[in-house]
Amino acid sequence: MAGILHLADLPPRSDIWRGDSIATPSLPGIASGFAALDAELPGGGWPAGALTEIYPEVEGIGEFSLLAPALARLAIDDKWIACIAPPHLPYAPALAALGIDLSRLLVVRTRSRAETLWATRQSIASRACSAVLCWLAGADMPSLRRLQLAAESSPVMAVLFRPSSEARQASPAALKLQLASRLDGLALRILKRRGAPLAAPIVLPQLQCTARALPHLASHLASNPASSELAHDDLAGTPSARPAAAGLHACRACR
Amino acid sequence: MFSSAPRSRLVAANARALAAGLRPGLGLASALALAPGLVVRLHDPAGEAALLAELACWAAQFSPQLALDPPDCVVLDVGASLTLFGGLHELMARIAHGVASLGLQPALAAAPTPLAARWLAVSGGGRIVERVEDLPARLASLPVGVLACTADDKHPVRSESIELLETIGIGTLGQCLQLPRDGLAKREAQGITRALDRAFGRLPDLRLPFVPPQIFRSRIELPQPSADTGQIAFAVRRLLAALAGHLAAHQAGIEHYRLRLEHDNLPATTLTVHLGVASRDEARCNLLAQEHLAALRFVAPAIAVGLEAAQILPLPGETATLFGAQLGNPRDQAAARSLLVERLRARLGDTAVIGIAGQADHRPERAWQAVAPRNAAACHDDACATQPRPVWLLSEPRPLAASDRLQLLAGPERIESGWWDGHDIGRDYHLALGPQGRLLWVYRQLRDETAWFVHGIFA
Repeated sequence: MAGILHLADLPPRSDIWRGDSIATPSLPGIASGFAALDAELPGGGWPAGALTEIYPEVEGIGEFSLLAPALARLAIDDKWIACIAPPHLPYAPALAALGIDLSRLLVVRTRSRAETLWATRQSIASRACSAVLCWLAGADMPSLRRLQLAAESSPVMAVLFRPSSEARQASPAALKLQLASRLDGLALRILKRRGAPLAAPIVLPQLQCTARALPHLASHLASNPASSELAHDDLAGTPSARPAAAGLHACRACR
Repeated sequence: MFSSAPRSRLVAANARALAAGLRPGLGLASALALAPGLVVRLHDPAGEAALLAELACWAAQFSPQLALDPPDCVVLDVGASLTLFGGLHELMARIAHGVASLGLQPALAAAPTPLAARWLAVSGGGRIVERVEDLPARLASLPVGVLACTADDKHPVRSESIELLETIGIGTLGQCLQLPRDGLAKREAQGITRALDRAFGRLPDLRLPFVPPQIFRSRIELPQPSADTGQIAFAVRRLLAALAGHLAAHQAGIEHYRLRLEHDNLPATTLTVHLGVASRDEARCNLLAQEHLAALRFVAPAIAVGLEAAQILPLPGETATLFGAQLGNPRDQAAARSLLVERLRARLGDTAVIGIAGQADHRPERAWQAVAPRNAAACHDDACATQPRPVWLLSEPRPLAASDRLQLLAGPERIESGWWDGHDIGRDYHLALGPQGRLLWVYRQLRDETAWFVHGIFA
């Protein structure tokens, strides 16, 4: 009689993982550009061929910048980076500054949730996109499952941005992240991943609010944190001759 | 067949009608009196011309050199095709068989000059003259009536000239040849001598070559009026199968085609389906057609579906690879990319799918532009490399409410520009930190220092 078969001796499979470790998905992840995050993600990066859901606490805390390094790298592929139903206009100069090749960008505007879901599913399944970013509110389980199924057949980075209020809803996504801004950086709480749950949030100091917008200003502010908090009424009274902060200068195009 | 002129006259009649004593030119009333059971059809010159063009398109497979000779003749230069088709008799048999299968009655003749061939065909057909020297002898017995067909608009043979010949007892071309040329010229019948010279090869006979139209048109009538997408999609599939065959045979592709849904008493609905690239892929055409149909709102049930593909482009065939399609083939990639864009456009509308590009302007709302996907140019504004720019730009700057508490982090960056085109702005931009760590791009008007606006969000 053969010896007792240990669980650990079973041949590794991508769809089975042990509760105390991280799964190894069949497709390697897409490096996020943040080492601290990559270390905690199955596959060592953003899942390829599976849905990722991101729940920012409010918009404007760095949810797009979080993806920017990966998108910049994916833009080397001759495929689309599709933005479906973005809440505002993606601003070309900012995206170019983030290193994203604008010629790969496809912006799709939709009129209804059904159209958003349809366009997302088509983009994911088309094999013509390296990344599909979709801003979606009020999606139900069946439509999310269809998106996940579409993603499984194609090595695409599929990211849904959903409102924070839906974070506790069940979802077939492989990765769910909740984002919140903290003084020391952007805090990522992993709500779901293929592997053991992670209790403490990951903090990315690179995405600290000032660091994001002004890399070269960050050091200045850190050493001189005397920014005044002002109400709107006070703002009105602030003289426009406030000294220009480091690195900023008035720009007159009509010189 | 009769014309719809003020007094209806017969234009043509079939063999049985001719046997009953009817002749072209007879009034309709007299014709009906002669043959009470006569079935008449309205003469349709436009329809005849279209049929002749269709026949010429079909005949182009036998020779690329062909010309129309209205109203009822197509002239083919088959000199270069004889070897390929196994000789003149073989070729004529094939043409006769083919024309008959199109539902037409051919009268074929072959001669060294187009006009001689035409005359032989008009006066019965089935005759062949191989050498120019034989022409005068072989044509001598033809009636002078054939002179009406000259295919020469500048020097036509007028009907009075033919009447003149008949009244002086000239019945055949042979007799006509013996008439003195200057005598004919005096009676303003030079057209006759010119036509004879062209027929016998003494004068060149230049014809405008017929160019097959670069267009595919087909139409299916639905068995009953339908507003059911499924039924119409079925008809469209059949039309597209025919189109794909046509394109494959011509080594051609199309970039777009038009679907026409015809309604009773209402103008037709036209859908233009863009393929994104030149293609003859039936599946691709079909997929995009289905998207258009799915997004279509029917004004009325359709009674017929038409397909029209203008601008047929040459598209060489592809060599199949030994081991099947290679993944990641750049051409397939490009096809997949454009297919996605066209699918999204078909369903969501042309303006819903855009690319964005930078533009050299300091004004934030003009530093970008919507472009066709993939046409994006890099950002030209030097400031965007050194100055903070938000990922999201609000389409309309939003006024800040008095209750908004913001912390100014950096600024001002003064942007004052655009006085020359009437959209001038003067603003001091700041970075502001809002509640919950939101980073906003706010500005204050230079003109009105109390007005603060949010213009962007650093996402």
